[in-house]
Amino acid sequence: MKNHPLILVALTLCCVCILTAQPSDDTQLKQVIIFGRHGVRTPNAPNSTLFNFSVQQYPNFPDASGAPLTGVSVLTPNGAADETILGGYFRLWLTQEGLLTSNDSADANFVFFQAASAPLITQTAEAFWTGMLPAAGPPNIYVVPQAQGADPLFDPLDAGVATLDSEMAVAAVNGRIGGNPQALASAYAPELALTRSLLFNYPLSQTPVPVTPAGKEDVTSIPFTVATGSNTLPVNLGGLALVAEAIDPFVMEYTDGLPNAQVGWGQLTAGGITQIFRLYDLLLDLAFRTPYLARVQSSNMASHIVRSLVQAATGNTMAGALATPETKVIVLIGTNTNIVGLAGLFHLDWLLPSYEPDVAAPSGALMFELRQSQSTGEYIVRVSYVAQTMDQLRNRTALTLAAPPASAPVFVPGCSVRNATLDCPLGKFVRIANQLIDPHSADLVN
Amino acid sequence: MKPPSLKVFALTFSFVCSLTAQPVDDTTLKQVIMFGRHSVRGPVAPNAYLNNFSVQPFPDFGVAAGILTPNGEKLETILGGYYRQWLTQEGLLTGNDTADANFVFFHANAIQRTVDTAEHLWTGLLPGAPVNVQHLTPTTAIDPLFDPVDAGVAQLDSRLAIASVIGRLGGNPQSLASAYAPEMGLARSVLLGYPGTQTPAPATPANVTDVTNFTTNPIAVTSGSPPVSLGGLSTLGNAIDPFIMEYADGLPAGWGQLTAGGVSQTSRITNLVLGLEFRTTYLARAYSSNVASHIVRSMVQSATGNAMTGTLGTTSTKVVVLIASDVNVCGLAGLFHIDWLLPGYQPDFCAPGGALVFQLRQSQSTGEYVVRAAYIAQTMDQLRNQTPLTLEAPPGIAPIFIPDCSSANATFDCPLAKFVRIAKQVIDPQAADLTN
Repeated sequence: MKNHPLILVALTLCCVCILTAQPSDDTQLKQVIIFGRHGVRTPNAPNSTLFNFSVQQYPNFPDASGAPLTGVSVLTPNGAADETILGGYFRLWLTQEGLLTSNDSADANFVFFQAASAPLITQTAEAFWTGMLPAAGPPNIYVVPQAQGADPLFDPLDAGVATLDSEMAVAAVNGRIGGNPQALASAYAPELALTRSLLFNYPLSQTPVPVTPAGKEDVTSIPFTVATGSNTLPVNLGGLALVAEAIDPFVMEYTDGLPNAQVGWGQLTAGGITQIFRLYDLLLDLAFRTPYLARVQSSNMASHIVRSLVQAATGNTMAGALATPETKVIVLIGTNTNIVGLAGLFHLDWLLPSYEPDVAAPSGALMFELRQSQSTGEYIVRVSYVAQTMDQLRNRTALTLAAPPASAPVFVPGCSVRNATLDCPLGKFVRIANQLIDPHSADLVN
Repeated sequence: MKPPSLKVFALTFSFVCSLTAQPVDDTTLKQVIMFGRHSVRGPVAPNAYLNNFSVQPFPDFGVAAGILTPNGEKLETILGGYYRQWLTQEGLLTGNDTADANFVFFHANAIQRTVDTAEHLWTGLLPGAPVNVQHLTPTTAIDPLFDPVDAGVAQLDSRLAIASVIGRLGGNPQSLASAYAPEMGLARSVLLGYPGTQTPAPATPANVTDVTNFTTNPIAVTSGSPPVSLGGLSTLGNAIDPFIMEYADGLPAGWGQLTAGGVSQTSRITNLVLGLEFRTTYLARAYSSNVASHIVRSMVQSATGNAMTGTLGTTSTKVVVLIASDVNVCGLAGLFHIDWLLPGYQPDFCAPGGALVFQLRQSQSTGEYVVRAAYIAQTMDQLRNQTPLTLEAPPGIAPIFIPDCSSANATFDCPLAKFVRIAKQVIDPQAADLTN
């Protein structure tokens, strides 16, 4: 389970550590790893459950014929369309970069897709493939066979690759908030007040606030806790988890293009959605970015990403890498918890217009480019976060190289240099990854 | 400049790594290091400057810009009195102040508000002993513990500093204006004197500069006031900085428009500025490695009883108090990736008088040394009301989990050897000196 070979590679590559900012970019893209979230979906809870939390019914999301979609966590047709648009953008960009050739069937041999097994996620991957390689035939998405159990990349806990010490998890989270989760309720009072006014349909400025309507549950008044969780949510955050469930539909309502009257029942602007989502961001931050939780839950993904980059740079097949040394494009589709966790492990931050900092937007992806300098042969990793803005999603805006999705170049702490693209020498990236990855939470399975 | 001897101590202590959560706390306190911010002060910018940003003049704290207020002095003595009770209970102080003073080491940054804070904390802690606070003179002196870059101990690559901040913001710092729109809106309504709920928001009066207008004064990351300038965000930070001090000093906050909750919400902007300027990994390493190195080495010195370079006090010092500014406390927290939350405040807020407190404790059964970290500060209302503090009515206390070190017990004890090991990973030896 130990990553000894990476140390050797770090030594092998240490000649590339002297890369400094260069006036012109003479690097060539050798491989790209796109680690994305699923597209716009229906809420995670049925409307009948959500209606316990609100005085108005949550809206239905339309299927292709306009009829209500049934089922929770279902990729919407608009979500799939957005994902294909994004795939189409990557097709343009990767063609410009020379990684794709426009011969889709040939290119498909150098492309590897893996998705977590939920239909929401596999369908997202298929929609993305359709945009990126439209003529390559049916999407070829690797999904861990059900008989093998959980996917160790996206769910290393259920897969048994990583083990969470639940007492340590609770302590690690409690020890970020003074052991007093309820103090979060006052720190986030403006967002909780906004949530309550929306759910119970009264003006935010109304004082005193009205009592909870009969038969309804006020999710904003349920105590926040930090208790032993599950493999889905590694700590039980009490009321915060219910708040997140109740507000989760709003961003999907907006990005799916529902009429204004159905976005937060007509009361939420894009800015209001952004503000209310701070509560969801808080939950993700506590449960997935907390260093101990990020190490346990995201080391396996990090290890596979780093080893795949090294494999592509050296041309030598490595254990614990994805696909083959010849693979040019790796697309991994999971959930926001996966992306936020990996970002937390490396202490990465980003900000895109219309979103809060560090939000893993629907369809958005952390992207790792492996590039090689044409003059020195040095390999560097260039990290960015790419996502359609909320309005690009809502309007299903066509994306081109001239009208791209939003993109945030990401500084990798301890690695990036000071040039415009914040390039991170591969040898250095391997070294910091070795510091951050818990070898006991990663496997060497390809 | 390298502290190689830490490695030796890490090996020396490696037998203590097996500490696990224990039902009973059998540890005794051997040393405590408090790294605190000054207490309540007047705004750092003069009112004549701040008044450009508001329709009403900013209130008079009765002190010059950046000077500790009389209430701030009282509050710090109240806090010192609490620490006196706690450290007496823990056996570190004896009640014989003159004798205890030999084992107490106070060091403050050279400026008035930090020296004055330290002196009044001393008065609360050791009322029977003459005040003895070490600090550089004159007030403009550069202290390498608190400003290692200007002191020449640490080098800052200003282009890398900019890249490290801008690379957290997608290269587009202006996007912060929409991400923080609620706070910008609140700040504007207070500064320009209209209800936050008023729509549409009124135009800016002719004689006032709207500090939330980022079209005229964009948020931008440039080299400038150390470590980076944030353009319009820095200006906004200056304009809202007085609010928490007004509240804590007992004045109406934001001309009476801000509740405690409203003050807390505006402090998100302060947190944003400090987060970018001092918690950003590269900047935390440059600015906080030296104080981190001194803190860690002081604990090792105390645990081993062997005098070491790059420490504070002596092997027999029981209480080390360092008083500086929020940038210092936030920076050290960023270096170790530690977070806290106290009631009424925003997460990670560095409150007036608040301190990161590191206890060096020893197990009585095994002899093992552990570090127990907490953030301690008076709540906003304890400050405003000058609430007496006792062991039964203490200030806000947030036990802190130190990533990769703390165990899962209630006090998140972090074995000393492990603490030394992670400190070596996060401290940049090129940014620390071994001067005592």
